[in-house]
Amino acid sequence: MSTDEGTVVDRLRRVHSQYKQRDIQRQLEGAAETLAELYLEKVVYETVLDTTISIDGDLRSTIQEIRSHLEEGDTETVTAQVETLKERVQTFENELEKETSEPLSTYRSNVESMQRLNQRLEVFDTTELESLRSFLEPGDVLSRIDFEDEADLEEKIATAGAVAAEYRTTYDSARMKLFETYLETEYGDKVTMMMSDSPPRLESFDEQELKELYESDLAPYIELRFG
Amino acid sequence: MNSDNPNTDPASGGCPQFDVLPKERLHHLMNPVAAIRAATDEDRNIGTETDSYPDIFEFTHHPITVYRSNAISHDDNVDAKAVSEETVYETLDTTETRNHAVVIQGSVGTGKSELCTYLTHRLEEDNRPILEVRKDDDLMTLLTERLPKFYKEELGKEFPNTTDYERMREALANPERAGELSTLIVVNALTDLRTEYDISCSDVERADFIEHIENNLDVIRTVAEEDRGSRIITEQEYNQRDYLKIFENDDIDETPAEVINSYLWQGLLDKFNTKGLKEVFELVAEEFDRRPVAVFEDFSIASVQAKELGNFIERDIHGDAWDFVIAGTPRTLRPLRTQTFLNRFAVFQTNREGSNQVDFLTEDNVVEFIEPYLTYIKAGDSSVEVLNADDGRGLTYEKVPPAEDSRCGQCDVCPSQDHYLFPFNEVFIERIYNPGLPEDARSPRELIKVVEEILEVTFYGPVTAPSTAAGDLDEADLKNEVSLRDAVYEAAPEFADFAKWYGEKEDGYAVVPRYFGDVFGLTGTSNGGSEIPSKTGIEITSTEIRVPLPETKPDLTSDSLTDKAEDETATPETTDDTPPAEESLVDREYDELSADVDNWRQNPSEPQYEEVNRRISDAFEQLFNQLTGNLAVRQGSKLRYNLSRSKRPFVYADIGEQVDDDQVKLDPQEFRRSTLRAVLRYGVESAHGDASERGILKDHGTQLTALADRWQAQIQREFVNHEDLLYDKRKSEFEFDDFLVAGYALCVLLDNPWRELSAETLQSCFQSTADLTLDTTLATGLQDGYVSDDQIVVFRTFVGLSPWFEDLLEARVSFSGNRLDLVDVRKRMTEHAPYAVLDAVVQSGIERVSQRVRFNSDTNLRDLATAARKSNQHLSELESNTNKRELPARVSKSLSDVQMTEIESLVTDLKRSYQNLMQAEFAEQLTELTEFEQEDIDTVLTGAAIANRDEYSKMARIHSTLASTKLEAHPLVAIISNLEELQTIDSDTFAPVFSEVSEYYVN
Repeated sequence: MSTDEGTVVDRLRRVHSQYKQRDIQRQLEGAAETLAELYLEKVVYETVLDTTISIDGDLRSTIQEIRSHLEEGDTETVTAQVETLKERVQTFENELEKETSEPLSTYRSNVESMQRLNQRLEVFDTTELESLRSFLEPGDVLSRIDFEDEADLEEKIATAGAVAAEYRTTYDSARMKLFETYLETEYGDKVTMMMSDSPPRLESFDEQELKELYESDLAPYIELRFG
Repeated sequence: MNSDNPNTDPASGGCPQFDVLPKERLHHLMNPVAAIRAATDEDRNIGTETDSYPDIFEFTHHPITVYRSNAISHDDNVDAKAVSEETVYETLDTTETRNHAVVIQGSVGTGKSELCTYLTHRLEEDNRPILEVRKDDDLMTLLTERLPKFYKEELGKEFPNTTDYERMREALANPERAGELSTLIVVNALTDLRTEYDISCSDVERADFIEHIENNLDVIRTVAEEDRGSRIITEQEYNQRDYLKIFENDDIDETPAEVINSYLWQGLLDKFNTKGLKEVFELVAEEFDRRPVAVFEDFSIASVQAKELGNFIERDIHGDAWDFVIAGTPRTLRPLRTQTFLNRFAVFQTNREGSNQVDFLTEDNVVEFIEPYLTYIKAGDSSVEVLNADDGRGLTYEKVPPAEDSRCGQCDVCPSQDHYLFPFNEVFIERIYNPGLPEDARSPRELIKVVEEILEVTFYGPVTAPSTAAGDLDEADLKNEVSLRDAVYEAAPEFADFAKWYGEKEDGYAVVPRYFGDVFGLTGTSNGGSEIPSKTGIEITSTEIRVPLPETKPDLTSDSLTDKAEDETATPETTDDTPPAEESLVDREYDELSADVDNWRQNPSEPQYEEVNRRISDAFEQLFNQLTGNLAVRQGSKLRYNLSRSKRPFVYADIGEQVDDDQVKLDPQEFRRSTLRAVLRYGVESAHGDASERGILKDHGTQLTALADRWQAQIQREFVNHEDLLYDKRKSEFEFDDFLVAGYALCVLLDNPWRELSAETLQSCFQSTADLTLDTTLATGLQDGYVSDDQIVVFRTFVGLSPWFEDLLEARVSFSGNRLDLVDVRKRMTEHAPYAVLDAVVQSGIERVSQRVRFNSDTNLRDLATAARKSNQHLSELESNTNKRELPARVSKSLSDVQMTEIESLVTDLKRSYQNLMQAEFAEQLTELTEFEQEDIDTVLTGAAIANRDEYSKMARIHSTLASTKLEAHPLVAIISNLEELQTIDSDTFAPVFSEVSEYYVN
């Protein structure tokens, strides 16, 4: 206690404000943990699934506002925005899940097809195909990446990106290996098209071509889907 | 006149002159102030033109002889030359063109006022303007009432500057102006002082000075207050207060306090543009073509103004035209005693040094002196032939038979040659004077006072004879040494006082003229007189009543006593109807011994009266114990004097036994025989285990109580208040009561140092039913390292003695109703800080206090003094060893204007919102904080304010040290001192994870 500390009421007010500051920080840091995970997942999915996941504008602006207020030391306004932030984070999490749902499904389906084809052709390492499958199984994808204990977010992003890129390379290699036999056949063009990330639509095949595919070795691996 | 044919009613005092004399006229006649005797009372028609009685003063005035003296002093070697009052008057018949004065000096009651009144009479006859200044007139009254009134009466116009004085009086009486007025007075005085003296007075000292004056404005207003006079500051105050010591150089003519007082007065007068005494006298004198005379009949103007007046009187300036007649005692006249004054003016003394006796009243002329007063009573008609005195001044009377149609002429109660002195005779008057009055009280005033009292009780009260009235007076005031035969007291007591006062000793008898017995109803059954038993030896003839004096050698052996007791049946306690056979043991013993009482009274140490002596002495001792509350040193106090078992608290007078300091002289002759017999009866009853003091105290309590009071006063004087006790002899300015107030103040301080140390606080503690105890919080603070456990025990013991201080305060410095004498206590605390008083208490002084002065077997006065002294020493050390602390200022700031409700609200909010973030210990602290109440905050703030004072006096520093020590130990202070705050997080380190992550979302 020193003489310039004002009255005991002043001090209690200060203590109150100090606890309030800590509480806000606690909530912000909680939201930040989720945001970090979501960002890492985004990096993984974008790489592995070769897709782009956009960040919601509202989330971005909320974060931007909070950052500005914090820079100004205005924790009072931040307090009012913490709940909004939490809601926007939740929304982003939902969107991430939604946006990756279809590519993930395609990915998993493709990998399973490749595993079955490989059983017959035996041209690719089965273990690698199995790791491709298990990496994006439902569940916490980040837990399947080994991050350094003391790594900061930047390093984690780098790690996640690298791991994801490796899986993508394996995925691409397996696909090439399994389908290159069919590229030299009369329906090589069609296979090339089907192996791409934008498979051909049914209408692009004429009746003859469909008949040939049905009778070929690939028939068991061709899937028809509504798009 | 003869006893067979009295024509007056004995019950009314027997004299027709008193029947028509209103009591008020008697009081006017006997008034000790000559000026009042000389004054006219229109309401009662006394001294008016239609008054049938002569002028009282002229009729009763006795020419006064005074002694010319060359000094106003107590010096025994006064060159005393007797001069008449006429000579004194002639000194005023002057053609001087300068001021002139006559000084009359004398003890109280020796005729100063009489002489002044005489001179006034003479001066009035000369048509001189006379300004009469009364005893009670203070400077303010003189300036604002007497002089303006005199001016208006003599000159018929308003006094020029009355309003200035009235403004000044009003301002002094207005408390709202006290501060402003004090500042002006002091600033004016300091400015003027600087022109004459080298003085230094800092701003702080000046502020203290002003505050001192502010506190003393009452004194200025009541300027002639006893002892203090107009001394705005006293010598004692000057010596004790450094801020008053403004003189750089001590080499000044008068005492510094007087110089300052003089300038303060001038400062006050300047403020209101009023003229001083001197200027006013000048102004008045200019208006007269005859020399005005100022008569101070009892000069009591305060010292400073008296000196100023003296300077005016003695200045040698032609044109000054006042004559002054100044009468006073040596003490009050002292300020006029300058060499110039003594060289220029005559000083007369009314009494010789060392004696209150005056030449115009001696044993030889006491009858002559009093006779005019008694004659005046009969001078309302032609009963007395009033004449103008030969010299044309005053009245006298011729001793001729009263006119036949006058009241005295129609009455035959007393012989005409005796009616001048009636209802006294010469013997009576002479006995009143000597040995009646104590030797130092044989003044005109005392003589007249006694005569008036006797007359009043006889003629306007229940008593039928002046001798009875005289006998009823306290023997200390009026003594009679005539002793009569015991049988007179026992069988005809109504003759005892009669004979003792009127009776002339003659052949073994006290002989009284018969007519006194007739008129006061003692003789003759037809007018109320009683039968006189023959054994009394009283003889009544047609002209005399002869009452026997004691036999020179009483035959009072024990055998004869027994016989006598059996013979005598007419004792006060037994009746003729009670046969001796049925007497109880008590009655029998009493009867046996009572006959010896009068003889024992003459000589209590005589072995033959040993038995009476034992019973009476035991009785006195028991009554003493009863009346003094078992030898308490003062009524109502538990402090008692533990008298040695081998001693009684009294020793009989004149028996050659040594009287110790713890004993008083008891003179049996001062007691009435009836009282001594009652004491004997009580002693006998007590010896037989059957005594009740109620009766004796009811009937005879006054004298016994006076004796007990005398013993208590002596014990206090010798064993409690004595200047040799308690204090270092060099610091003898302190009194015992200062010790009481200081000791109690220290107890109050230790009980709670967070109170102002004032008379009011002492009063509040004094009135509280709770005992004082050492403040527990303070004790904790003291224990926390500043004071040893032993010292704390000293403090605790000392405060535990506070009930004894209260006991003594109640007995000495309080009023009834459990109230301290606040004025006295405040004065003592102001003049003598408790620390200073107790610091003057020394071990040797304590050891001089007798161990016999004690409250009970465990506690005596020494214990009180020792505990007070030690505590004071320890507190002094504590103060010296303690550095000025920061805490009080911090606490003051921390709690200033803080409301408990606000704290509660904040803490509730804090805990509701963030308890999960708090350390458990901190949450507990917050809970404890809310358990205090607003009162606690206010109390701590008061304590902090006292602790934070920047004081110069040792007492105040001790007070603030204790307050600070308590503060440090107070739980509220501990909590607010330990109230931990969190580290505030800077914005650049706030929420680091968010800060890092958010980068990826915004870029």
